[in-house]
Amino acid sequence: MKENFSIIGKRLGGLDEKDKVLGNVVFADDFVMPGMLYARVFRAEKASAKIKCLDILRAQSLPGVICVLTADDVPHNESVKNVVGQTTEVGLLEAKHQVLVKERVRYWGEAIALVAAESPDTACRALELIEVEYEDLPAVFDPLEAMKPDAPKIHGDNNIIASWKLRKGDAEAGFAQADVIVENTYRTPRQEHAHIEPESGVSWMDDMGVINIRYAAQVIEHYRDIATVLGIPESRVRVIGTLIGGGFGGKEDVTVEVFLALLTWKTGRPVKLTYTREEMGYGRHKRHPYVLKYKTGATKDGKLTALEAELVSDAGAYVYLSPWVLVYSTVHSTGPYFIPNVKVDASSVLTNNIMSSACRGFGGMQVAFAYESQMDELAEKLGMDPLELRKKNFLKRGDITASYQEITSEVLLEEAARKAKAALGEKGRGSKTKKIGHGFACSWQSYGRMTYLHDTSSCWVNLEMDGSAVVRTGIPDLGGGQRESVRAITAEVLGLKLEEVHVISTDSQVTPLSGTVTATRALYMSGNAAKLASENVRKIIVEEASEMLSAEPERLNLKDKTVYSVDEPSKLLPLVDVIKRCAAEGKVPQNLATFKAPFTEPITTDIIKDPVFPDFTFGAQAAEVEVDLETGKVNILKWAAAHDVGQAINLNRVEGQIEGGAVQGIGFGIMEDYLEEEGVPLTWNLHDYIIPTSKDVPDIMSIVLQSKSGKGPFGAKGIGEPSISAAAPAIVNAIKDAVGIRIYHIPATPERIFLALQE
Amino acid sequence: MSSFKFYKPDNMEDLLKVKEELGGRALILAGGTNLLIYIKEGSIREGTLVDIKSLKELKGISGDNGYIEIGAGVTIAEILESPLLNDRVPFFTDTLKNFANPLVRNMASLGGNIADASPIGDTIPSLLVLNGRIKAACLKGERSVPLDRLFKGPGESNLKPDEVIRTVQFSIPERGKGTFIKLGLRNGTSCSVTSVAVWLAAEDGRVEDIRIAFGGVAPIPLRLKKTESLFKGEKLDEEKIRALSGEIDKEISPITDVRGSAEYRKQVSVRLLSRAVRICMGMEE
Repeated sequence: MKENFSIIGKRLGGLDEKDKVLGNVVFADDFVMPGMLYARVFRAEKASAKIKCLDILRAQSLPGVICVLTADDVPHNESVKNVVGQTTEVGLLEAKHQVLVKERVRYWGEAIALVAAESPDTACRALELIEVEYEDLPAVFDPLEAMKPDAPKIHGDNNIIASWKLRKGDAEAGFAQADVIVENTYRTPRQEHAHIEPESGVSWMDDMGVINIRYAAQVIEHYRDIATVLGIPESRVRVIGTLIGGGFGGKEDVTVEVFLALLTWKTGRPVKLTYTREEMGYGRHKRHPYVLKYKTGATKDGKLTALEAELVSDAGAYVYLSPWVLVYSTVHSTGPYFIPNVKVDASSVLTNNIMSSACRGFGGMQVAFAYESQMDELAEKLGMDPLELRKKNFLKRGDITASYQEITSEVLLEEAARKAKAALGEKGRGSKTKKIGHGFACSWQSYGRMTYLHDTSSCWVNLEMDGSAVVRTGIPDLGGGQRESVRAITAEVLGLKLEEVHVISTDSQVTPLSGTVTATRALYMSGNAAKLASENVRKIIVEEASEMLSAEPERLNLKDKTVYSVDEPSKLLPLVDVIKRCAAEGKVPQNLATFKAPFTEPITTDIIKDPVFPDFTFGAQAAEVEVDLETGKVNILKWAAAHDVGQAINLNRVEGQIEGGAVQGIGFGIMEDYLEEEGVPLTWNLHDYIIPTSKDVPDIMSIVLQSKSGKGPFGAKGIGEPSISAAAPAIVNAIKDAVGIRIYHIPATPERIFLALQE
Repeated sequence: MSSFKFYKPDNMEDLLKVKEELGGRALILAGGTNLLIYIKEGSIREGTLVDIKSLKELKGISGDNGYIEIGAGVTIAEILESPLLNDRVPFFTDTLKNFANPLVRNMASLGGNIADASPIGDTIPSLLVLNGRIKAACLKGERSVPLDRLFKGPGESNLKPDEVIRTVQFSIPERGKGTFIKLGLRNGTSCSVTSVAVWLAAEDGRVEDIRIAFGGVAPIPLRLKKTESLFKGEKLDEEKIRALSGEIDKEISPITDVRGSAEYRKQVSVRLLSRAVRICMGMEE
């Protein structure tokens, strides 16, 4: 591939941006159909209870109510999935889920019944007419309590649903070599995704008897789950994904689609279901809260000798993706450092809290708070500059991690940290009551799904007779420009303008399946698939043109709808002429390509000792904060974020991801926490659950490094999740610099800082 | 399930008639920034929305001889943009700079923030230290109520069911300086954890007059008259300010909620008062 890109790496105005700004995009909730019903979900107001009596008769007889469904109406209400890679020694092997509560409520907000009515008001009124009689059951809310043998059991006979370990070298011997040891316990909050767009969709039965669901989906492959619940062939369910107004993992597990399909299947009518903001709070999963015990040792020269850690995550009431999130935490728990002796034990535990599952960072972020706090504390004890200490220990290309994976791309951590720190400039002066501090943190985050999941991604590209291109890709666009990247890559390879490439995306029966928009895999997987398919089409064109021009195909290039010889640029052909000749000869310039990630065998023991991820993205963020000694309040004054993205596809979008990650990470660090008391949610709206506003974050200085060493198209690495992890430790390290206290339990709220200052 | 009627009075008399007829079931809709939330969350489920947005009688900001009168329907944004108020009583306009966010400031009315009777209504502590009063109107006539006697508890005031707030008034103190500090968990669209307003007049470092009011430390926005009396006549230095501020402990009774514990509110209120006094004394920016 040529080195001088026409499109890749530039600041591109995505074709969908204008439509979004003008309000022209038909988001999930904007869609309507004739005769459409409106659905609502009736939810439990108990954290742990048996349903003694569920009375839906009054709701059913309300005029305008078309149906009320309970667990008894769901063909396959309960599902059991094996947790890949867990051994029988670990404990529970199966993840049990129910579509609607059959007998037992396990968290406050769990779905019990579905209502479909002629109007939203009627559906809402019907909810008030449903009556439930509960019998309270024993409950447990603290994951450490839930691990004890006599704790009430949420499912089965063990609340510990997953355990993973790292074992490398001899931790005890490592600590014996250490001159300095730092030992702390950290706690992280239950973060809400708080995407702007609620979970929403519309379903209908088409004239061929296929159930269609058009909704905001990070995973269109959920059509399979719908088919399983209904007991119908997968070919009878079609998912059409919309452009998404944010997800952050919140639209990764099943959201509205199964409910919608059930209601359309029962009524035969189109149905709309959009969650309320409050329901997004108490009805949807959150980021796992963690308790992290860390013990880190180093020699007086600053070489890390050992790490011992215990991680416990609160999975909430259902398994969902907790075991996988825990794999991420375990693998990333060392930080991007070479540590000769490592012993990490991680567990995920069921409680009667709201369930936890995917959330941007996917277990890689909680550990970053711990390992980067540890590094700063070690540096302080050693009397060493925090960056100097890190430099002595950064992983390098070719190193083997504590999970026995070789680092096969560049590690630009030193450059990232240096540039982020430098971008802050001189430290402000502060005042008697307001102190200024600088802090930074480094992080690593995998991109691409776990390799034992054998991930693939397909894409179809076709050149039209006029030289424009049509692309079909299943990848959903979460708002990060995932679809637009596919467009840019195709345009680059085929020498077209962006507007000459039309991308049809996210339709499970029309577009080749490209997999999920999760795990920072979209660019890596669907981008590689688009590149592969485009290159195959390019090859058809170039080979045809080489005959026409009597030139070697390798010496031909495509640009501005022209095929020309790089050696003799005057030797050229209009692209359309080549396409016409292809058509005449029956050589269709189209290709369906499938990109395969590296495949590995499933983990067969609870010790992770084989590669798990395709690759990692490295970066650093730096903060200047002001801490008010009298109130404990932190103001973020400056922020810099430097990440190696391998190769930017669209520089604007890369910066957008970095800025978004930093802001969401800042929220995690200083203000966001979804609070529950005995399982009862306290912060279920955006009045009480607070996220940063434009007045809480300064302009983010994004520093984009491009090592071109990634596994994605043109050497790209993923940046969606990697941009979030360093923020919280950077703030906490800056607070330490400002006022000399270290916060071990985030968010670092004014009250927590105030209390720490009093001690 | 909710059911509402809508009524738009043509003039003040029309409004007062509706109030006379419907009392508490007439739901005054000015900006709606509180009312619509109560309706949406279901705490108000029926009544008649009485839209007063276009009533001229409730608009207008006037002032002479150090006396200010603001129509209850004046929005927070209008107060912030008022040349008269910015010139004559910048203390009060400064107070509102961090009120919610621009969207809410454009809609929310001064009267509404008072009538809502929230313990953390952000306009109230400043009005309390300005010895603010409201004029409550009903068909029978008007009465003037000092703000420090208006509130009964969270969301409860001494307004009668047939009364509406017509104007808010205060006199600009001849001497002294005021300041308002709001502590929120974030900088924009933030509910106060606690807030404090202080008006202070001093001569050679000695307090001649001081007025202190807090939001978020009691069931109602509170004037702390006992603490005020302790400050009066005292010659202030930093240590003295700290010691006297500690005396608010006896007058406040904060609660624990998602924004902070009672203990934090107590301790941080002492420090906020110290800071506010220092600012009024010119000891700090």
